[in-house]
Amino acid sequence: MATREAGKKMIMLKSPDGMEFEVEEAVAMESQTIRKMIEDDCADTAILIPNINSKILSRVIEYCNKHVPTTGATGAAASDTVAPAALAEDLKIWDAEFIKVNRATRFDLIQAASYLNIKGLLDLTSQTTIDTISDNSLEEIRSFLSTKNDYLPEEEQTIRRENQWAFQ
Amino acid sequence: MEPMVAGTLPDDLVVEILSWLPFKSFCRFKCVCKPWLAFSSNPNYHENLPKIPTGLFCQYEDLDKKSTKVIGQPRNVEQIDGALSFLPHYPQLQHMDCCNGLVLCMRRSMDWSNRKIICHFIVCNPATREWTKLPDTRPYQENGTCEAMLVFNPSCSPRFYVLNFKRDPLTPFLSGLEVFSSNLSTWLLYDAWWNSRMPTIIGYPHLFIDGSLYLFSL
Repeated sequence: MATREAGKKMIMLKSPDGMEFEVEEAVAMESQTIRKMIEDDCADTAILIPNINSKILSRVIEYCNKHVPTTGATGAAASDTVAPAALAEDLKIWDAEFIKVNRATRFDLIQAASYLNIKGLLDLTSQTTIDTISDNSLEEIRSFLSTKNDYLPEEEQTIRRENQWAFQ
Repeated sequence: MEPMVAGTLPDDLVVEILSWLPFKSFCRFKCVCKPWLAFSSNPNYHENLPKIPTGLFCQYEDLDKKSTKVIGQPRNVEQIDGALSFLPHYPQLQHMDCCNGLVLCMRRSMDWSNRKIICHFIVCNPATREWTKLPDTRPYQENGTCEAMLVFNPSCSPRFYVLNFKRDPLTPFLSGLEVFSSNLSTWLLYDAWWNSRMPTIIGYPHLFIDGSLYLFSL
């Protein structure tokens, strides 16, 4: 596998539930956390990714595969023939499809993006979450983000009065 | 992976999500629960969360024309139109005052038949580019002066007030006060109430803090 394509270094990522994913080093390095491990020579042949199960890890790898910059000799064909703007548009459409997941998966992806430090994925998941709930009522927001209303009725009244303009 | 308890996120990820909100929605979200309200005063999170856009609003002379701009705007918020280019163009529009994000502008016009001056006020919000024309003030003597102040505290009420102090020529005293309330959309006269013979200096800096307007007097 490691010699599948000459010049491409492969890295093995392991999820805690025992699955192994072999990815190109460039793809794995979309994660700043993994990049740091590789650059600091902390990565052997395999890197164990704690806290992220195989289902989520495979989705994260899917995201990184799509977003890895196609520069130099590797994948030059794609970037030479397609204009950058069209490429960006294509990525946006792909992202929109990618993030069509249920709430639990999205929260798992947020946590994974945060732990692995993949800014693009964290931005995508956070922004999609906000787009989903920003027009909802306070009660719906609480339920979506599993937060309890811990205001006393009079406290809530005060804070709502102070921010009354934001409800109009 | 440890299953998350009913899909809860740690605080720093909730803050990450909230950081995508526009400021107005963020103010609404502060009412969700106490920890969310506390985020905005937490120094670790303060930097990322939406903040009130701030800047210094100033007026300067530009080729004999009075212009305004906002300086010192933070880079991560939507640009505020400090030049007030969204207002209808009147050559003599003058910036008079600003208060908690609203700006008061004025132009004078002369009623030649009575030799009286009328003030036309506009109140605008440079952040939202909304503006409103106030009804004309009562006419006053040609050589009299007036000084207008804006009073607005969005955390108490979305209403604003404009205080227009009138001074007759050759006297240090203020001779009258008319107050515009955006709630009533009309000017109310407080001349009798104001007639205290107190030589208040207008034209000097004034401050509106916690619902009180502070002026200089002798």
